[in-house]
Amino acid sequence: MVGKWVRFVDWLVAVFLMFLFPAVCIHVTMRGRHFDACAQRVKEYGEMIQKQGYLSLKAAGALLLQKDGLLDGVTITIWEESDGKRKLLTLPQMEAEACSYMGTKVYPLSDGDGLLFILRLPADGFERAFYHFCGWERGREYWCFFAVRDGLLERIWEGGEGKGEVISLYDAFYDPVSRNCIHAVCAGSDPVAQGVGAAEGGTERRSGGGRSSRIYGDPQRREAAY
Amino acid sequence: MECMGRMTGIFLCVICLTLVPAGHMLADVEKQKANVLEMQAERFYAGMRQGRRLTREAYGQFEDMVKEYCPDGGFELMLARRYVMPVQEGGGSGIPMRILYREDVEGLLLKEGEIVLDETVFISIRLYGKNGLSYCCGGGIW
Repeated sequence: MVGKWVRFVDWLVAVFLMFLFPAVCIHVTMRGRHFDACAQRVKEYGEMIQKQGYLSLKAAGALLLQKDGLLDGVTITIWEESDGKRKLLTLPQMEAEACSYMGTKVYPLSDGDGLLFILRLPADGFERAFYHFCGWERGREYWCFFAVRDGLLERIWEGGEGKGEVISLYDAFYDPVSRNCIHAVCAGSDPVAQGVGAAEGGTERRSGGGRSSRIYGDPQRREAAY
Repeated sequence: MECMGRMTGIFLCVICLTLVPAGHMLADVEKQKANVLEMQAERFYAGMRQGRRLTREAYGQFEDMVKEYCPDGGFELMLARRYVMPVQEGGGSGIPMRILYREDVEGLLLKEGEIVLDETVFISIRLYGKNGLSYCCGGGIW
């Protein structure tokens, strides 16, 4: 009887060392590499957003709903940091404050805004078992921060009150009927319009959401640059 | 002999259940420290860009953080001015027409307390560590 038990323990140890442990080890390593790839992917998104100055709703959907196959299973949280305040970005909120730019629905950002992406991948059963004897059940986490370099809010014109659509730069400054560039009518100097050229009249604008208070950043800085 | 083999097997199992996961954990902790440093470097650059200045306090905080999270490593901070002809010395920022490395920046901060940055300045921040940490960030001010 004792001999049978001893042989059983031998068999168990052999199976564990030759099969179970390597399999779990490989699983944990592959999960780690998957997470690193997700972090790299989010960094690519972040670098694009940083340069474009806006977050398109399509990209936001890919990040927050994880419809992109690679990001499945990873929870992504986006925080917007503006004027020292941090705001959690959710899809419904972004949709409410979105505007149309070049035919795409985007959530515009301002110069100097920061976007903080937090990626979390909770530990699965195998990982919990792997780390059980070390007393560690923490999953994986990755933080990345991107400061917007060229905000869309500073590049386009918004005027008036209430929700609406921001006309694209092309529509804003070019009149296809007269084939003239239209001088944008605005309060204060508009360096973009000055560079484009002048003609009589103005283009009707409708504003986007409640973000008009952060349009164009610092007017003194803008005028000094031009 | 059989007993010795059995004991070795059990010992190996114990190693696999404790030491190997512990090694993974340590590697993860190092990765997270590197992540924190990278994020702080980006925030440091963003702060300089937003405020258009480098203050002694901000520099000191960043330096302390690097020392705490990466005692075996360090960072390099470079300020450079881009220019178009004709070359103009001085300018609003007071930064000369050469690359300022970390020692020069520290000297300036000690003397002036802060360095004003204008649109002609480029900033480069590099993190490095003996554990393989290597990260570069920075850019212009506009």
